[in-house]
Amino acid sequence: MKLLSSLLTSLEKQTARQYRFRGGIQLPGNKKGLETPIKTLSLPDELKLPLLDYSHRPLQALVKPGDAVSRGQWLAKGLASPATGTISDIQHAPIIHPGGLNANCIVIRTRSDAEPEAQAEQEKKTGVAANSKLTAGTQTVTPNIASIKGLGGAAFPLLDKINALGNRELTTLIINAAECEPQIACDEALMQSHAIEIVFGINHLVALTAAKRCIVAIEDSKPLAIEKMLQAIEASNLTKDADTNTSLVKIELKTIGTRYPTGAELPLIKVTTNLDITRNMHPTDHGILCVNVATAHAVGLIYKQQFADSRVITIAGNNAAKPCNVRVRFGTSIEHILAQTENLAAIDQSTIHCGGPLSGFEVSQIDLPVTAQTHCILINQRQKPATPVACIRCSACADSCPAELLPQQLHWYAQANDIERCTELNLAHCIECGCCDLVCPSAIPLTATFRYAKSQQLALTKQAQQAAQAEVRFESREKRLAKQEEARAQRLLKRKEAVASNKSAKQNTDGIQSALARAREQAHNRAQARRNSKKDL
Amino acid sequence: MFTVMLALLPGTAALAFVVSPAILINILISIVVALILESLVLVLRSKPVARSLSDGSIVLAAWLFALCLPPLLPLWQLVIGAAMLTLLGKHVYGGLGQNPFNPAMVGYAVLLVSFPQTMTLWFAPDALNQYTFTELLNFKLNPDALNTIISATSSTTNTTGFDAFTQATPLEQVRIRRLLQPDLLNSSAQLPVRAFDQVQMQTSPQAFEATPDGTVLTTPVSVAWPWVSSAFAIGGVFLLYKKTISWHIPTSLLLSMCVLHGLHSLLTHLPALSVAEAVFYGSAVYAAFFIATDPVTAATSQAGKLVYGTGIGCLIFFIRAFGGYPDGIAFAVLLMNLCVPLIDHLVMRATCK
Amino acid sequence: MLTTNTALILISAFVLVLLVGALLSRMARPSGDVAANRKTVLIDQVNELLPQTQCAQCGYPGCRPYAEAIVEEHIPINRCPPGGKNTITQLAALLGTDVPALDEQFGIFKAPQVARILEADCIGCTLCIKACPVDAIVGANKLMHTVMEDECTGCELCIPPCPVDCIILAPIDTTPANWAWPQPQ
Repeated sequence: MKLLSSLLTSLEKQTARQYRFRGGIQLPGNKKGLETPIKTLSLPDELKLPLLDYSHRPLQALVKPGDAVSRGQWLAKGLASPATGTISDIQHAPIIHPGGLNANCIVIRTRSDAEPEAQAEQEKKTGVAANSKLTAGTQTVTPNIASIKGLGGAAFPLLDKINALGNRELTTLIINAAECEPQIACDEALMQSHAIEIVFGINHLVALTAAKRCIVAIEDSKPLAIEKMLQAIEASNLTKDADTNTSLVKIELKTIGTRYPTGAELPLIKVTTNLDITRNMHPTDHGILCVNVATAHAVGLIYKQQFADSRVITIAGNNAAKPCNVRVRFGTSIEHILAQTENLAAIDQSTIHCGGPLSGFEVSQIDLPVTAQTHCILINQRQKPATPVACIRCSACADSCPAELLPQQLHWYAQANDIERCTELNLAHCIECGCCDLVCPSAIPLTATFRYAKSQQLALTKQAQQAAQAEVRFESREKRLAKQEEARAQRLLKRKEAVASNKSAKQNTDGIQSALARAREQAHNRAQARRNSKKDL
Repeated sequence: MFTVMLALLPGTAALAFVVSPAILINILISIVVALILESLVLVLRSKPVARSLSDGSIVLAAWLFALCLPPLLPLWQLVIGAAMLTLLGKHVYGGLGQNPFNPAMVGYAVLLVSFPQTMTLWFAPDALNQYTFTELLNFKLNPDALNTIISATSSTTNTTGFDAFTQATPLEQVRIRRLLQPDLLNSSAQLPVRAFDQVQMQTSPQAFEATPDGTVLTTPVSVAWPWVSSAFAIGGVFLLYKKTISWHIPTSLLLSMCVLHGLHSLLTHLPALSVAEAVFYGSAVYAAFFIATDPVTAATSQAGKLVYGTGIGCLIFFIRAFGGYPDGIAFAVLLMNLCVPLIDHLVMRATCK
Repeated sequence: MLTTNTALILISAFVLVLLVGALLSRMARPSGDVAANRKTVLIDQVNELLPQTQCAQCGYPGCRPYAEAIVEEHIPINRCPPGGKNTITQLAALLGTDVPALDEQFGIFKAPQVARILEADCIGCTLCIKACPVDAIVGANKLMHTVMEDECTGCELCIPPCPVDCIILAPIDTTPANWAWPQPQ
């Protein structure tokens, strides 16, 4: 039986079709620095942590300046301290941001001597044994899972992602190891050196989500990573075979074609499962979850009683002296990283680019703390941007668009600020991959225009919401005032009535007059009686 | 743009070799005129002249336009055509990327409806070989000299001199022979017969009579034109290989045209073009790869391109088979240019649901 | 020369056309209810385009009253300073009129702003609370007041009643949450 099933799976592997997503482009990988192992940087003296969540909304600090914090302690909701030390300040400081903005940051003065102590503390606190047997769906959520952020670039909290499933069954868990963007190699380096830990993390993730199927998708341009991962996965699957009680599914490894942006969520789902996610549907609606391979590794770290407060960053670019992959604690400044990797020399003549060459943006200074979103720092030669010329309607942009949009039409409307038409043309589904920019023969900055239009769209939606809210508040106030007015009017009316009733009492004056008359009469009678008595005397 | 120019070289060379080197004069002059006018317009519109010219779009348009012209078209008409191309075809709409109609075809169509006689004056392949380049230039500058020579040739040879010297393109011959069918001549009002056709029919009716073996074309020209078409096809394949153009428009255009021509030749009792003749004896190949694929005026989506190409292919057939012109490229392309906004809109609506 | 027959036919055809025309025009005219309904729908549409600042700069107590005045009394559509050119353009498109320039006697267009109370100076008089059209100011008698910035529409109505001039209007801060990508040149 087992033989048959293994035969079937191998047959399936042989006949597995390569699915393709629409659009996309072939790009040279240009991934240098993979020959050296991942360096771990020394802990910097100071870490700066922006008090922002993944979508840049402000977070409320749970600590105040002067507090002593230990590694793993919550500094804010979802933000764990990456080191033991003291909070020296909460200040407005520049962050990695395309607009060069500032944000409130928690500054931690670190104590590197406290590191082993923190590790011991962590092992004491989390009671899960490292090699405890895993059963699907029964894995308890340790509080530190909440500190894991997606390490693929968006830094979306892992728990929120899992919770988005609701009570739907997770049919397919896709581990995203495509890393399709040129020059970025942090995931590849991680897979080459930490395949076993990654698979350990994946197994825990499978247990956590009770996934019915688990696919690891790696681009075929990473043979060494595929080899290492395959070994680790097979070893793990063998133990699963040996353990008849386990309900964990086996991990499948799928080699996918190298094509940008196959690592984006929807193209990845398409190439691994041949499933088209219809517009306005979410992968979780289909029971699909995509988790980055580095995030899976972080899950593994948590279950090994370690911390998920660092990430691997690729240092690359044509002016980089030593391209490499380094593991850095969140909150480390770019300057520290560049200094430690001997890349600080050529900074003056270069531009610093955070994020991939297509999806990232330039920053104007290097004293910026890295976050979970920073997967790549590029040191590039300064170059003049190409001057855009008129669109010749060649539609190369539409052909290359992985989101199946019409960039040319979108660009017209976005330029004219016609955000309504942009919305009709599904602007919100643009993943800002930059394919259209690369293929455009007229060098039109399409992606930048779409980013602009998307911000405008967001602002308009917010404005409309605020207007609606203001209207509701205005109307309820009007109603309240009207009610008060009515109540007052009624009070007035009542008082008037009371006065009126007094008046009617006054109208009954005859009584008084008669009473007076009676009183006078009495007095008169009494006087008469007195007079009479005098006469009698 | 420059890849397209490179791809035009074999076709241009073939045309110059087969028809006359005067074609090169046409190209040169129309490029110069278009460049001058474009610079002027750019200055008037206060746009950066050098940057706009360097994209090569106007050079290419003028080149494509000149390739459609008969070799000895009088110079002043050529200038008018090039001017129409630049001004009416491109700049009245706002320049590169804004024009709804293919500029080269606008220039050609203006000339064709304004000067039908000179615009259909083609020559037998060897007829012009006796003249030097300067003489050819002289013909272009001074149309009267040309007429003198034509009439002189006719009188001395006392045969069908006019025909020996000037010659209708193969498609023109087929069309006129169709018009000469007795049942059609009796009711010639049914088909638009241009005055020029009648003149040609009267001067050399024997040229249009059916040959004994039943083939339509016997003149040397029938050998020459497929060479030109093949040369253009080589350029087109090069463009496909370089991914400068997509396969959608050329394929759908040629396919729809072939299907209709095939059906027509099967079903009609009148002389009609066979599929191979339809493809190689006109400018269909040239249009499929170089004219219809102009990205500015073509439909943008892949589905839209298929519709657009098919539309042009059908229109070419209908104009050739039932219309007033032997080869309907220009009007087919311009008519489909008209439909592009609608095609794009419908495709957009279908994809953006 | 017309024969009597043709004349008769012509006349009857003419009458028939007249009758049909009259019938059609009768059918096309909306009944009273429908017209009233259409009016309320139009008021809603106009109201939706107004910025809901409730600033009363137009001379009406709020946005809906102004919308009603536009539809029912044909008041000019260029009296809304916070909406600016954008609102006027949209209103003109909706009502099918020309696009007039903003009537600056009602105020000038300003970038979105919010009110802030200089809390040290506030004496707790509650006058601004009464003036706020959207109840965005909280506070109590003799206690410091504060503005809920998310609710504030920047209408400036709280400024005149303040006896100690402790309310200022400030442009909305650019934060990472509301930052927008710039438009490429």
